[in-house]
Amino acid sequence: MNKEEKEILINKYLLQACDESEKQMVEKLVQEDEEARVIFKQTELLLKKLENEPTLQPSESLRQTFLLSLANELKPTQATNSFNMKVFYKVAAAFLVIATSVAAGFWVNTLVQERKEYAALQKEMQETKALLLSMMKNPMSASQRMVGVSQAADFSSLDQDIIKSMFRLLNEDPNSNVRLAALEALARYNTKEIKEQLLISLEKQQDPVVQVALIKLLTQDNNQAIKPTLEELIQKEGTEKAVRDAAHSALLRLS
Amino acid sequence: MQLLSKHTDEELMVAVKNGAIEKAAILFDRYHVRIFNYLSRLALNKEVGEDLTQNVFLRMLKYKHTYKEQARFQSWIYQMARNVFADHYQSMKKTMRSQTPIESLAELLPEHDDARQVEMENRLHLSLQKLNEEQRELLVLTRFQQMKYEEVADIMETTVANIKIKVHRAIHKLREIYFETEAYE
Repeated sequence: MNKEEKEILINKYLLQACDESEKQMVEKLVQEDEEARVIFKQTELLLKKLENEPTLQPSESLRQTFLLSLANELKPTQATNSFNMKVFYKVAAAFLVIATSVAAGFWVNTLVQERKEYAALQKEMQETKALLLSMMKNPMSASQRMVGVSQAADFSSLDQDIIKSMFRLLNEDPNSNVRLAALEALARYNTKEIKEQLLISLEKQQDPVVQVALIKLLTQDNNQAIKPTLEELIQKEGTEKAVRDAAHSALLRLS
Repeated sequence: MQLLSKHTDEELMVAVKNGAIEKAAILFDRYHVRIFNYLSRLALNKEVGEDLTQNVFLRMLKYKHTYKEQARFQSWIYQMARNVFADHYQSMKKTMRSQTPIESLAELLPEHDDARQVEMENRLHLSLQKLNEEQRELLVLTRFQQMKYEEVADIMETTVANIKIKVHRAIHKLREIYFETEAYE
């Protein structure tokens, strides 16, 4: 029996895939053959090591983020269901008003139910907002902050706490990808106030990648107010070449 | 508590497919630790493993309509995890960052006071790193996760005989690398 054949048989034995005659063959081989004994001991040790490896535990944020995504998936479904139910209740109530006096009671009941649903929805929105803000503040994980920013942009049209957090990430986050994600999210709002704050951010911004992205964004709609900031960037000592080039071409486009 | 649901994985996934999306939370609770371990050990990095696990379950929601009712859920979700890892691996190759830093390997090691034990664990992980992706994957599934060959064959869409041969080769290769390192040291 050559070495490879011995190995196959020993592996089979240790993986408990041998029949009775093969088992006896391996046991005899290990007793009589030095090479087989070494293979057996080494493989046995390795397999034990592999099987004794502890289970790794993910952080709690993995679960939180998934449940948040799940809640987002659920929203449209619930909205549709609740719309259908409302329509159903209204039709039923209209029919019953004509038919019996019970309709009034039913209608009042529906209103109470709707108010309750609205209060529950408000509560859920507050909880989701708190979770998003905590994700955006998570100093341990850039990916969490990015997910927080992207989900927050979907979550709210103009929530001041969320906007403030996004600007803090845009101006101060140590990770360029997080800054860019914050910029992308803020760009979706497209209001005068946000654009003014983005211009201030360009003046403060130290990250060249974000500076270039800001220049592109702020010059998209022929915004003349950006010109002094661009000129200042070109003049400023220490401005990266790529940023200076982007500022130059933006100025050309604006003139 | 959700883990104790009476429903099978397959029943739950069919319910998710048919609109009971909240049932996905039960499947997440049943599988996320296993998928996280699988991906962390393939990527040799816990942080990457966590991001990829998140992607797997987001894909599960996105592609719920592709689940076939007769299919085994475990195979379906692991195949999704394989695809997520393959995408990650391709993008890592493109960005030239495929080398796993030694510090991230250390995250996968259990905590020990015994220096000899630490050194041996370290050697095992370094040896695993030297296997090719497929060999590492086979050992993660069959040895770390203790799946049956039939289950692995189902996930990898091949025959049991083929899996047996490949597992044998992977163990052979790992033994060579591991004890070669020991001899060198």
